[in-house]
Amino acid sequence: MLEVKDLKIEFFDHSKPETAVRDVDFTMKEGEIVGLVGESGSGKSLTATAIAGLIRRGDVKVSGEILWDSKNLLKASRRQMRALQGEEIGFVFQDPMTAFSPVHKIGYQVEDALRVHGKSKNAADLNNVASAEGEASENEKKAGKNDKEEYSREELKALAIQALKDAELPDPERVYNSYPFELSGGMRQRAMIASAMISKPRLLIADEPTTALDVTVQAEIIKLLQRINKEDNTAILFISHDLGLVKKLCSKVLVLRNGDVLESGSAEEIFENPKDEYTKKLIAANVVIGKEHGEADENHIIEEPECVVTDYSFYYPARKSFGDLRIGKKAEAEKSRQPEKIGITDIRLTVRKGEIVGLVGESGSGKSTLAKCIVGLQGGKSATGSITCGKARMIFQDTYSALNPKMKVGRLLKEALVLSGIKDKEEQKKEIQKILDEVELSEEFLERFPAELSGGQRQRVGIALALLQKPTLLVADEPVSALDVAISESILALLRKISRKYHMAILFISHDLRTVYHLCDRVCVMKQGRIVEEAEKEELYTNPKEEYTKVLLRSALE
Amino acid sequence: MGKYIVKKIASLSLTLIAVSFVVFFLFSVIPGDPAVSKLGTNATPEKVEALREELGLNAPFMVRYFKWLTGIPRGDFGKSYAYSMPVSKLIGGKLMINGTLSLMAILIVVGISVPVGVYTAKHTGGLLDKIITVINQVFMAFPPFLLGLILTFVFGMVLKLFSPGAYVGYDVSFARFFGYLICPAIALALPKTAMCIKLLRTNILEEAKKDYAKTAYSKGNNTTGLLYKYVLKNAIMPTITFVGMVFADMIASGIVIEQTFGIPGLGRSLLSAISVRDYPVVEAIVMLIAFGIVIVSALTDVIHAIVDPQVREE
Repeated sequence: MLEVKDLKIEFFDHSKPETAVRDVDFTMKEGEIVGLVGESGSGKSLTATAIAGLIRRGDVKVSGEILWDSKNLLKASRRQMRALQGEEIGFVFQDPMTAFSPVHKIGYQVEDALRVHGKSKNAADLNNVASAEGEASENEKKAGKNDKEEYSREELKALAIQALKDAELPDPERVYNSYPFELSGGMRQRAMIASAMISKPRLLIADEPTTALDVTVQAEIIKLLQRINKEDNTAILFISHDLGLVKKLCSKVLVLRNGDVLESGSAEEIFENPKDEYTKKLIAANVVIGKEHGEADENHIIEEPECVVTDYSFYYPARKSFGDLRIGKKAEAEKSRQPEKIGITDIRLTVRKGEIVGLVGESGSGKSTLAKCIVGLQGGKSATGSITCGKARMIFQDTYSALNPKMKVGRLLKEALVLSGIKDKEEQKKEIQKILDEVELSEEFLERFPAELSGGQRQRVGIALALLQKPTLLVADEPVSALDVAISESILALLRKISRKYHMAILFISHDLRTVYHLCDRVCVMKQGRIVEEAEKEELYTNPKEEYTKVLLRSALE
Repeated sequence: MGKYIVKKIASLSLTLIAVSFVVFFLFSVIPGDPAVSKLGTNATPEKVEALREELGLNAPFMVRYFKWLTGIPRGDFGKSYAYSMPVSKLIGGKLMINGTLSLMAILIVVGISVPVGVYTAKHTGGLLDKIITVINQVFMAFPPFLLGLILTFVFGMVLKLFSPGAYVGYDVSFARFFGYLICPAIALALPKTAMCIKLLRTNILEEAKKDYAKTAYSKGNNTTGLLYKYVLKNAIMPTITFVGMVFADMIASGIVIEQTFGIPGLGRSLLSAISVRDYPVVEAIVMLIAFGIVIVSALTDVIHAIVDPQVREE
């Protein structure tokens, strides 16, 4: 069905052409699931976008062959390509929040493929590719105009609701009339899948479809994709940096790095018997649990509490403003429609010097709220209980929005120093040099803007910023969730180093139990604003007591 | 939606009351006695005192304020000191002039900038886009009164399409009144139109880069489909805000344009009232301007809420 030969993608936006992808070769049969694996910048997404015909910039050159039913898509006209898009090839994007327009209802956006293509399957027009280009498009123009039979409003709605139901969305009627922001992340991604599957395409391209989601939700989305594959015999091109997911889903795997295919073969071959060094490393980074990682340095914890949280509760104030006239049932219905911020209840937590405590739970469990309360960004009068703590600084998840995009790194660091009272130029220079060494960044980064750094480098700057103010407690809120496996590994190593070197207390927040196992000494599990289980790492992972912890562990290990 | 509007009206009424207090307070503390300015500096203190008593200036501040405030909903802004007639009669007709002028100008802004903004965004880098960009720069740099002078010269004196200075009241002939206002409205509108085109173009291009645009393409949409189905609704929001602000601004820039074209509008009344310390008139005009601005900003918010579901939820 699909055959990619010698695919090469080059950028021409700089003075000399830059090759982003070279020599990608693979074939896909109907109903097959193929995985493209690699870190960001490896060219996996670019390859997928090229297949779907979504590279529209003039300064990008795609060469080689992409054969769809033995017709070369790279030679097809825009019009011919559009006939395939949404009809034969569906695309699911990484972040369902931004991939939907925020001001249009889900239903409208799910129906869109049908609205564009009408009832006729005019994809057959692709047969004209081989014939003279101009003539073909002339014919098509006529044919397209005459054949296209529009769906009526009712038909569209019925089909959309069926598609939403097929994507296992509860209450599809309600989802149909919702706006994207009214749904949870998992529901949005299901709706996205529904919008791609509504026209029953033969190929579904899923570009990191689970990266932005919680672990438990991830597992469900993967199950949904498997079901779609089985029931509709839809082929899936699955792009991910998560080898665990790829292993579970795909029958064939390609490993990419820096635009090169390092290895390809059946999933079994790759996972059981990897040939390439990089592949081995990737697999090793993923298979963590069950193997002790690193040396057992037991005595790095000093028995002196750094941060003590006692019976702490905090609730977000009810959202009532002047003239709020909501009453009775309607108000309640409205309330249930919104993901409520629940706050945190009766938190007891101690972090000792030199200890790394993991805080896990799904999004909405109150992890971030607790973090904000500890560093003093949240809380205040409406909180009860106490938090005794030295100087706490935060490391954020979204490295991009955490750094002022209009300031160079050097200035950002300087500002942190000025805030902590170091105004002498020479001293500033020394401190900055020291901190750069600490976070393993070279001096040239000082002259760059955050946008010019990679995610990993930005996170290092974020850590440097926090460290410059000489904190005694670091609160890291999902610091590696937005990063690739290999890079997040290095950031975790950096955090571990800092903890050992300065006996720094670290509160590490994550929804990824594997990362937490990697790094932490002790783990607290949060659910609906409460800490439901707290235990030493080994104890928690081998012998969980709470049902909820078991569920989390199961979905992480699967 | 209904609740949203009720809430808006409640908070806006509060704003207006606050504005009214500030206005009234300021005019009662600034130096200068209306009685003196009416009678002239030669008047005897007894005469001045008598007039103050007659104008009600001797009552305590809060009493005067509440009397004035409670009159407003009935359209009673008190009596002009200078003309001894109700303020409402004095400025009622002018309101019609300025209202018509601003409305015409705003229609020109929206009528031109939306289609042109969409066109230039769609054909970025094309010849027409480049030409329009240059023209835009020029118009943005023009202050309205200068444009007014140019328009008067070109259309009034060279082409003789209208006679400058021969203003016709709307009560005499609405058609000719309307015709006379076309040039001033254009002068008011053009600089704002240029800004509006630029804003809309930028926003459309910005939105078209977002992820949902890719989604739309992946469904087989062409650029036109993407633009009209998705981008425009997302990109129009800042333009709505801007047009709202422009409307408020027009009331102010209208004062200058009135002078340029010799239109006896609110601006002229305001200027003369200030010079003779005819406070009731000044207060009334300021209140009307504030009222206009508040109404427009409320309308902007409501339109926002209609376009963007997230605004409704807040």
